[in-house]
Amino acid sequence: MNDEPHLDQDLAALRAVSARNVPDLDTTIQTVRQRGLESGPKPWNIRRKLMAVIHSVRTRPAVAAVALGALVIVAAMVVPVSYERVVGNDVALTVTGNGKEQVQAIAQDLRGLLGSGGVRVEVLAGDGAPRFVLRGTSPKRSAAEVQRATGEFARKLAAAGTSASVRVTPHRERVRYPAAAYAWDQIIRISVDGKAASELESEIRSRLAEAGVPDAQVSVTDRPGGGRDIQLKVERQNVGDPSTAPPEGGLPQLILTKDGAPVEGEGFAVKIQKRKASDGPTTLVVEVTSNGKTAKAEVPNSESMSDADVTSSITTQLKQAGIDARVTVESGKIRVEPAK
Amino acid sequence: MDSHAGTARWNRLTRLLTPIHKQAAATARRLCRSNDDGDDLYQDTVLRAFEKLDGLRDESRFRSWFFATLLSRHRSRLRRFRRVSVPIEEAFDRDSEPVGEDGASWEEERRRAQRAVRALAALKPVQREAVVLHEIEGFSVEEIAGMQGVTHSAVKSRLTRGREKLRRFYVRDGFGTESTPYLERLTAGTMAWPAKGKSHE
Repeated sequence: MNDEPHLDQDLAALRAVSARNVPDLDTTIQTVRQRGLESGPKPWNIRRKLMAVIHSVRTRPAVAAVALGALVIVAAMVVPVSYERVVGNDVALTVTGNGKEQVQAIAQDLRGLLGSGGVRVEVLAGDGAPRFVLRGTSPKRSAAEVQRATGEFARKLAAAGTSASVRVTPHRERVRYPAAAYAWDQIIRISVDGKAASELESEIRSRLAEAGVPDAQVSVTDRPGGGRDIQLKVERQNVGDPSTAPPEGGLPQLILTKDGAPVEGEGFAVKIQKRKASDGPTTLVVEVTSNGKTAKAEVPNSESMSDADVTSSITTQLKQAGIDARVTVESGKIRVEPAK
Repeated sequence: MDSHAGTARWNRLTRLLTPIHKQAAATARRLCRSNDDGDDLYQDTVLRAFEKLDGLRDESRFRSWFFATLLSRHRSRLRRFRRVSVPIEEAFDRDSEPVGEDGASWEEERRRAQRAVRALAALKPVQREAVVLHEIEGFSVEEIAGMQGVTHSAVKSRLTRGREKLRRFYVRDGFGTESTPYLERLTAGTMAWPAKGKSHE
């Protein structure tokens, strides 16, 4: 017997030993078929499969991440959330100096123009000629489009001798849609390609109005040296506990795109909030985004401070966060601009 | 499971398995730490092959397809039963071994086989598969690449690293030195891969 260890000999021994007494194929098949029958849909087998899936996920984190992402997307597409959405525009047309029959005819025309189910007529009694307010709702979400159409309608009435004025307000309703639809509703994408400053300004204003922000102050101006300044101001008052984050009030996110890609880099955005507790002090929160960097400055009790102190506090906090900004506060009005 | 279609599928699988049954069953044992584990792996593989058999169109590819399934089940079981191990001393049952002179010879063979199993157990699963399939079963590098679903060079790398680990195992356990002839053969010219002359069982 050669006792000298030799890998080839050891492997040959393994080859020989492992080939001994191998169950024949029929026996193996019988055993496997029995196992197959036992692995039918029984509770402990379902549990075993579940454990196998869990184990498989644990040993493959990348697969688990992809699966989780897919699950979130599916959930966003399926799980409904309740939120307020602009579903159209309410139109109030006020006409003066007409009789009942004429007003009925105007209401018919207005209903056809709006494409809505009906127009309600209110009579405002007064000392002079009777005034009628015709109210209807257009299903169109574009406030600008509805304003344009109804304005033209009012002008035609005026030309025919009927004094008319029109007011358009967004018609909001609480809806239940999948979370993905909600997210989509909260994002406004506007392309700046080939648009003049005035066109862009008008489109931003119009799209914000469609999204339920009709009172946005928008200003787009061309810089002398190239580039564009876009200023957007929306005032919302929120009264509540200043320690809690205020609701956004449904304010959508505005994304400007150029050649299909979001415009980034030189943007300078300022968000100013005053949080006031019902019976407490006001906390001023200024959030600035400059060249992709975001900083937040918080000034508690800002109402009891002088303009100079508020200016100093905001400037210092922004500087500490790495953003150089020129801050001016005059009689409580705050203006934050990029430092030249 | 035992419907007409199921029976037909079992018959088809039996027909295809017949020529390779002994080799495949023995290979399953060689990949595991004991014969019992190997038999269990083989049964697991046969069951999986039965479940997937309808997906096999080209029956001439059955052999490599079945061995690929065997390797897949092998790794899957390693992930599931990583903490369960069988003492290698109990790897091969002795109930049916002869006694007397033949018994001594079998005992020596069993001891050597245990040492080989212990050495192979030190390898990563993919390296162990490559070494077993190439050194014992005689599969070519190309065939193993197809079964493992990797490139030709990846198999070469697994074989080189596997052999190097085996060499270290034997040196560490005092069974060899750097200069022993069999170790030279194991480590030298490993990238040349001469064609194996062994025939399949």
